[in-house]
Amino acid sequence: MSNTIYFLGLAGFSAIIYLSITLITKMERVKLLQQNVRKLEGVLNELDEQAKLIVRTDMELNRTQEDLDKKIRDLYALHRLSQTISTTLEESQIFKRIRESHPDELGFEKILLIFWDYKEKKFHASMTMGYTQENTDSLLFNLNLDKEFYVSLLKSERTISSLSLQEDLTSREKVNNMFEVISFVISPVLPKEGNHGLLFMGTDSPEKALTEGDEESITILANQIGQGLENARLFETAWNAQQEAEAKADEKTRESTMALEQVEKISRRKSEFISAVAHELRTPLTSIKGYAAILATGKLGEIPQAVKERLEKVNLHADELVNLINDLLDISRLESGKTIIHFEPADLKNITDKVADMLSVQAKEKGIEIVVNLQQDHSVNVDRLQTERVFINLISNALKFTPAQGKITISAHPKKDFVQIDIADTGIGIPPEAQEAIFEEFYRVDNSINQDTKGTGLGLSLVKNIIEAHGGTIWVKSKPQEGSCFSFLLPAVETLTPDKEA
Amino acid sequence: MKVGIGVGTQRDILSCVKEAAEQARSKLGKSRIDLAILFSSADMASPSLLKTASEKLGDISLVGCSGAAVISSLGIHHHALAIALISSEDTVTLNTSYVKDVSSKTPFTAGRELSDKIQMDFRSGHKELLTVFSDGTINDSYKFILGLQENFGTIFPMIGGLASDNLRFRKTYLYFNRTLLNDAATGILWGGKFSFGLGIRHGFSPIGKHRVITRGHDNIIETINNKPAVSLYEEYFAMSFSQLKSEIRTISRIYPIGVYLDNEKEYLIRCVTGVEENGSLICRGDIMNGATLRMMIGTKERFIEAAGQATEDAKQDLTMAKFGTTYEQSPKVDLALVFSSAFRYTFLKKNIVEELKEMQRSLGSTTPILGVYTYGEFAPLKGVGSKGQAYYQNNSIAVLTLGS
Repeated sequence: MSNTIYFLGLAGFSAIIYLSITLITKMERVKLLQQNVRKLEGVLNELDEQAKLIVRTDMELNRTQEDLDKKIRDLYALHRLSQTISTTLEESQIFKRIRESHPDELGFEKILLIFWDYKEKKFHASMTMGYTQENTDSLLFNLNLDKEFYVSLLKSERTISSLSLQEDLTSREKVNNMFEVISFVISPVLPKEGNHGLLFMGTDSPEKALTEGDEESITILANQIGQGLENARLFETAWNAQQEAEAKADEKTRESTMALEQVEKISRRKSEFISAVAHELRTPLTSIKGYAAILATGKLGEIPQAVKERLEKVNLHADELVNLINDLLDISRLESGKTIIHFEPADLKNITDKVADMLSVQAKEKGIEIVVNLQQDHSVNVDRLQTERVFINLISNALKFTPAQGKITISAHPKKDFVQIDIADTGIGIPPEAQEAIFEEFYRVDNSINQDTKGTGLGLSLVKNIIEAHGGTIWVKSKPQEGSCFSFLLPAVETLTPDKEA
Repeated sequence: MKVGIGVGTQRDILSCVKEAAEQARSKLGKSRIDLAILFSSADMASPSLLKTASEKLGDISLVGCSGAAVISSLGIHHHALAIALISSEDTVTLNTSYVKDVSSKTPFTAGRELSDKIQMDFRSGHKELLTVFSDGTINDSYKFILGLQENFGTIFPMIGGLASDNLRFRKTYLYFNRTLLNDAATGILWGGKFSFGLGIRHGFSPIGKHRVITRGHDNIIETINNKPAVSLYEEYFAMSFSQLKSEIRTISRIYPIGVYLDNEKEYLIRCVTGVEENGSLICRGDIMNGATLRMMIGTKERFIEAAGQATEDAKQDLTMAKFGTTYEQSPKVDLALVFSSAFRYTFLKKNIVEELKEMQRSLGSTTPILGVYTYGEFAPLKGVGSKGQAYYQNNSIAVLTLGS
């Protein structure tokens, strides 16, 4: 029995020892596990701390990326808008093109461009986006009721925004309520000429985080609009000035044309008048000449010598008058284009020789040598009779104003499609001031010869008209006491070149 | 089924509708139109749009909504209208319905009402899929899907989204036949012989420790790990409470909360829209008390990849539905319907077109794609072994592939 108790006690003791040992071991393992859990928690916490760092860094990177993306977008939008503004010089087109170029890509869907009218003392809208016409009208009405705020903003010449007005809540709310937005930027548009304005850009998006970059972008845009308007207004001023000048020039041209027409009309009437008067004069003159001739013959009774002399004078003066009238009639016909020029090829030498021969008696009487100096044959396309009149007039004049023992030289040379003929004399010459006037009708140079001899002052005018009717021109070079040289162009007969012949 | 897609991009709304309707009609050929799905940018939403569509296409069933932008096989369109004309060829049963006054009825009740109405009129056969569109400006919109699930059950396949506007959260539009609706929801119930696949991805990855929602309700997380919920963002972003109050909405779009749900592969994304004075976080969508959550982080590249992954998932799901295995060659996709988050549209900006390229890499360039950018997506997280329960999701892209 006692043995049994002893063994039971020993077994119990052993069990207690075993259990104690097991318990201690388990407790050690739990402790170890707890230590491991704590370690794991530590690692997890460390990882969580690292996660926080990652998240913060990622957020910063995201924000930076966002800012960069936005700046790039804004720059692109500004670049496009800037190009748009610079491509037109018409004020209304500037606003239209800005609207078409999506300024809302700067991140603001509500846009208003208003200008202060200094005369009417109120704001006008030049461009709107994101507002209906009704909204715009009502907005402008309210804005003009509170115009002092916006006029002072114009005068301050600075950009404001919901960011810069963070401390000035009253003003910020005033703008927010007026334009029905949450964020905004208002920047002045200040062209040097004309009305100044304000560019408003706003958004009602709660998502929009306004930045200083937005202020900068919109200030740049407002400046560009101002510059664009300035250019447009300068251009308009210049354009208007040019238009005015052109209008004045047109007016002057119209006046000149009218004056020319008037002159032509008067000239025509003068020619018609001269023609009519000449015809009227010629008939009685012919009668006078006839009667005088009959009387002079004595067929109507013997007349005293004195009367006979008077009758010869009447006849002489009547001839002079007839010549004058004929010259006048010729000039008149040429001027009015009534004289038909019968162009025909003619040898210049034939004409000059004939005229020189015709006037050789006169020349001899005065002891003047007429030299026809043509180096080559010249064929001219002229009205032969009229051309002879030109030569007769010019050579007669030369004979008249060249003193005895003088010389008259006729020469010619080709000049493009014409032949230039020069008739030079060693006469008394023409004063410089009279060299142009001598071709006018009835002009006579004031010199001793003219004072002593009669003349109509129509010869050179007639010559000029004949030459011009041939498409040529006449001019004179002269030095007093040295002589004169009358030069004129007559059309040459077209000679066929080898090419043309082929 | 046969599908014809058309896109109108002209400035004038009526010309735009005509352009899209004529294109779609021409691609569909002479087949009868059984359904039109129409998405437009918000600036185009107007009664005249639906009137002109009706004039061009006849008296047809039309369902759709407005969005920040429109997705089509031709591109991503900021100002446009896209329409898909569907001919069921008598193999697909379709029913459409709508519910008005969602906010006054509450989204939950409206969801329940829509599910009643749309099933009541359903002619016959198996109900296979529900596509829904709801107003994107209503508070508690997430409850709409809960109302739908009360009648349909939680595992009934659903996909859809919340209509959006020009990112102002002011007014969104729903289209139902010739009626332009606000504060409403519309749906299409699909049944009969056809196959479909669903795919949804967001592209976010979890970062940092797991934490537990220790107290919360509806869309409010009061405490995380027994600390005011805002401390999560305070710790991660080293920002003060007042800073977070103004910035948390923006921050949480890129760094949202990911809620882990049992049996689901993807984390359910919840964006934070505000902070209450007691430090509670107001979420865009319901939260689950006791659920594990993690901070999420994403990159543009991952978001773009997500579009391809969601499309590939939807395509494989369609293959599975048709052949019972994913090893078969993919069947032809008649139409891919896409609901992509408006967040993705604003965040990806000019890279948004990459999203479409990723989808087309999976589907091929000739597959008709029609989609819209939404203020919230309804779709199942990728379920384990089934199509899974549909949730209200944030910042995600959901793809529905339809095949005959």
